[in-house]
Amino acid sequence: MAHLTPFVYRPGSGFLHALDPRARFLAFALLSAACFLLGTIGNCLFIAAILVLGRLSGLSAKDSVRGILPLIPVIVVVILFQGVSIGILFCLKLCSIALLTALFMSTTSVTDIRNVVSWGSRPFSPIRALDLDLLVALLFSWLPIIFERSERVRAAQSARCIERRNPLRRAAVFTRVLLASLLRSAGTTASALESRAYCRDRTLPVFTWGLSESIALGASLAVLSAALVFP
Amino acid sequence: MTAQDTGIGSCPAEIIRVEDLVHVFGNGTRALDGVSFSVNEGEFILVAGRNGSGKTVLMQHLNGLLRPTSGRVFYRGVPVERDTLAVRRRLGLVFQEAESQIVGETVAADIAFGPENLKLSREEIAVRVAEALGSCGLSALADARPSELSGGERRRLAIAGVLAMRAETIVLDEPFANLDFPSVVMVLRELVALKAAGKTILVLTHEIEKLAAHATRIIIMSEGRIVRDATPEDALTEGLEAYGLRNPFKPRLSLGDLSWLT
Repeated sequence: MAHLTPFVYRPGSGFLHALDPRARFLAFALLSAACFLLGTIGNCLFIAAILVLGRLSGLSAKDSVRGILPLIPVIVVVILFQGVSIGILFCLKLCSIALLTALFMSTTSVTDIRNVVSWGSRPFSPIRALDLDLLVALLFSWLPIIFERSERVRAAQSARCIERRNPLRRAAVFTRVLLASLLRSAGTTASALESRAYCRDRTLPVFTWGLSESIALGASLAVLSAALVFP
Repeated sequence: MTAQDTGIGSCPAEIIRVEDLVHVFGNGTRALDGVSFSVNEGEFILVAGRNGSGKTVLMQHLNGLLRPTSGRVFYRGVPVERDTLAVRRRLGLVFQEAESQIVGETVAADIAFGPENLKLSREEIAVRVAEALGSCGLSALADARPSELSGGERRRLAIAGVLAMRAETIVLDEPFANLDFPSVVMVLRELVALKAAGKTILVLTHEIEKLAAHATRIIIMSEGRIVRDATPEDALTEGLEAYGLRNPFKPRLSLGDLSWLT
């Protein structure tokens, strides 16, 4: 299913992929703020720039635009109720954010997110930062397991005509079976973590902040400043 | 990694020694009842037994995941509980449910998890990950998501995670569970290659026929006890059915003989 959405990481070697993830996070935050401040022309330019950046990072414009499609009903409703000019501006802002998020997500892996979250929380509590790192890793690795298991339990119960029961009873049976199955697997995960020598004194991620990171951050700051001065 | 690095004493032949191991669960179930055996370097041991015979509990004692009710487990002559971390570096476990032991976002990230726990340098981790990917035939899938892998590939990923820690002993619990024929062959080839590379291997399974030809020794467990411990030729004799196992030597001359009910 991953290939159907532009909001998932796509391995690559483009310049955005190569950026220090901290620079990518900061640039994303600054540019998101700029999106809300920019006017109609500014957002048009912003969208064009995002599409060019995506292309430079090896992502097709078609992939990026796919992220906007689910927003069309929202845009139509806003135009109907708020009028054309406000509707168009809202539509542009929404598209800017969606494209920026797609660009960020497709060039930022969960490992990058883990590393930045862990790095960001290290000054507050070094030990908790490492636990947080594992928590994020487990969360993302367990999501497919939870979906797969839910589907399996649902199918098995459907095969035994559970639809004939009332919805509350169905929900209770489904939850009980799913939880029991997940708890058993969680026990295995805990044992596997221990058997792979999990400890807090681990190799820390290595970050490299160079010229390209400084340029990316400077450019993002410039866009935000421009949005503040010429909204 | 030398014995001095890990703080574990060195003994040339014997790698694991289990002495009168007993494990009683909180509800009174006696999962292991006086298990004793030893494993020498380079052995390929098949530990067979019906479901609930104590195989998985035994596995978890080998690297200190469980503490015995009584009895002891030694790794290279040193009690496991003295330095479990050092033992876990050298003895890797591959669990039956491969998907639950995967923590990485990509295949390469998951393999790196173990070496990261050993606090190795990023360069060393990259070398080990590349080696493990290569030896398990997963190089082309380095950036793939583990959830996209087939059952056989997930099992090989779990093995690669252990190899990246440079484990000298690998214990696998039901490595063929839920695998189709090509995946079984894939995993089996991997195990034979590991044996050829000098690793000590223990496979816990009830599917004797898939491994008997490659094992150097077979241990059969029943109700928490070892009931046979011999070479494959001597272990696979009459009476296996009493321990919940199917004799792989049973003659199959006609279609009717293929029935598992006869």
